[in-house]
Amino acid sequence: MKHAQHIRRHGYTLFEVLIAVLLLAIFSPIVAELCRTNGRSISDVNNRSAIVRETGFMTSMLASDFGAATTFLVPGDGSLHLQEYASPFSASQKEIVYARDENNCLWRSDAGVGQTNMVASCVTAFDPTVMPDGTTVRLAITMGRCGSQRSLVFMGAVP
Amino acid sequence: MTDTRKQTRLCPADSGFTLIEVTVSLTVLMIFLVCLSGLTVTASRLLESMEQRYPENTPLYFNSNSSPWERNLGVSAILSSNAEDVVTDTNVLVRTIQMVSFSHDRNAGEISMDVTATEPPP
Repeated sequence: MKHAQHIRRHGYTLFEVLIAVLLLAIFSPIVAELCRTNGRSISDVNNRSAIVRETGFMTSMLASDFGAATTFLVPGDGSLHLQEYASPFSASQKEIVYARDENNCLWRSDAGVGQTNMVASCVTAFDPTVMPDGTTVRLAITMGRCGSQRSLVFMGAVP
Repeated sequence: MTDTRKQTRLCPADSGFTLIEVTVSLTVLMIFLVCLSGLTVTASRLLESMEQRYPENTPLYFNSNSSPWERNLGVSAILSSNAEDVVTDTNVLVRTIQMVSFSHDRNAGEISMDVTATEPPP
């Protein structure tokens, strides 16, 4: 009894160690699997939600510009030029240019007010193409971020 | 003096974690991970519903009004998955709007007003 008490006060008994090892053997694979699955899915969810967030903002900007556009131009360098009215009750026009840079950022340049704003930061491909009717432009946009990717196709028309 | 020091050294709390502490900590960790996985599943479902607004590799159309007046005002185009869903030019341009009467029923939560609109000259 004295010997047992001596061991108990200085550490674990064999029984405790056995139970602790048993618990670790049971819980470790479960915890590892949960961490692996959750870690991957949390990262994927984060990337996809960032893509959807930027897609929403980019779409609202494009919808605003296509709603006001009178003509468009696709020079072939991967940029899209839209002509729209400079201001309400005015016949003067301004040019909006959408272009992607080498850092996967999509920029919107408003020559009318001299502003350049970043629309999205994960655009891996921006390919405008003029459709055969000449009044519709097809925008093939690929959004990518840390392994998650989403390809979108937009069609915009001018009168 | 020696006995007191011995008792302090031999206190069970100083010897490490007890079995019950390890068990409780593992249980708390498991509860945390289960809650985290539930949160991830909820966020994933919410994200899927958001992604349905922008279907992959399916053309989405910016349907805009052909009216030069609305284009001058900068009315935003409507995003739709249907090319036929073109906004028709049914708006009537008005020159002046004059309010004739205004009533507010707080109990019913209704606001009613009568206005007269004058069309612009052709």
